[in-house]
Amino acid sequence: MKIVEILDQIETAFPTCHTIAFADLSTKMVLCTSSSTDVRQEDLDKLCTTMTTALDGKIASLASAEPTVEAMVFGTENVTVYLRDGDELADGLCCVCSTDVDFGALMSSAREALSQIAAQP
Amino acid sequence: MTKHARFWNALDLLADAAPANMPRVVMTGSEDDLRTGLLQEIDQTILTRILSFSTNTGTALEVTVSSRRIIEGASGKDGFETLVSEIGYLVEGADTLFVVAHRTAHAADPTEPGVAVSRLAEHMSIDLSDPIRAKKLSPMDHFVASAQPTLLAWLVFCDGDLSHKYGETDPLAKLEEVFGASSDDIIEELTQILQGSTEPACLILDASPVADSKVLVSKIENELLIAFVGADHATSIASHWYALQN
Repeated sequence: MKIVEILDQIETAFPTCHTIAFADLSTKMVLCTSSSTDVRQEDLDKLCTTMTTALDGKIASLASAEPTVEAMVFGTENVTVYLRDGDELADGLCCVCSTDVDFGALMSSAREALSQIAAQP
Repeated sequence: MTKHARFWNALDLLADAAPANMPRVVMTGSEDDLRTGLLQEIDQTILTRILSFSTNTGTALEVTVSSRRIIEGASGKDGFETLVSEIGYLVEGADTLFVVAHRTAHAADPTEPGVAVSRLAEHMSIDLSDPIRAKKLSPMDHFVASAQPTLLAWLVFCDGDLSHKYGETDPLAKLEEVFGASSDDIIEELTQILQGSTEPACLILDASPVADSKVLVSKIENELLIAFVGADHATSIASHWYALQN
């Protein structure tokens, strides 16, 4: 299955999830997206920078010497989930959803999707 | 049913509509403020209820209250002096008082005089009508109170200064050791993660120096919360967060 199809599966399962992005955290580049709205490249770049800050920033480094694999941000309008594959540390997945998303189910699906992507040859 | 009975029945129904078993912040401030908040809480309790008070230092006191009287306390039925010292011990060194109200299985004995809150207030030189009760709790106070059962330890900073802390000894010591001196950096990084937004936000990281926990960082207005939350409670935190936002 192509990466975009894996991302689309999340979007289909969670209609209130409006942006899903797969990124290379080592180069801070978004490699693939699935989005119900038009997302500008500069917004994707910001999203990727934010993802690396959340997963590799000072708070994460204080929290643990091991790489942080999950971060979630609850805002006033969105829930944003950042995931990193535990083996392929450069593989990152980000989901931006509205606040009524089934948070527990989203986390499970996002973890599964990242595993599928990391398992790709 | 008499008019009187209907009134009491309605009060009972209203009380049942309140969230059950959720600690609520009664008061923040000095020991005197907490003592006043405790007596005012009792003064406003008409129905028979067990009030479980606790503080940010970990002390606790449970009393059965009815019609503005303490009818059963930790000290027994008549231990007025003991009750006074129990209240003193409860608030000693604390700056936040919480309460959880429980219904009792049996109604209060109308012949049991108990200890009237007015007598306690007089003894402690507390004015029960003191407007201190109107002191506004901050949105962070409300979030911490609602999320408290899931938090192992926490620090709250207000305008960069530590305003209160709470938790079991070991996690709290670890929290202070790891994050205590970094509140400014944490605020700055959280603002970056929020792409400059000043809206309230809560970040949870699946990483922690304490086993079976996650790190939670939240900012609301001028307050910053840094906490360890139980590893399985991210969904619960999300619920508390959005319940407050709504």
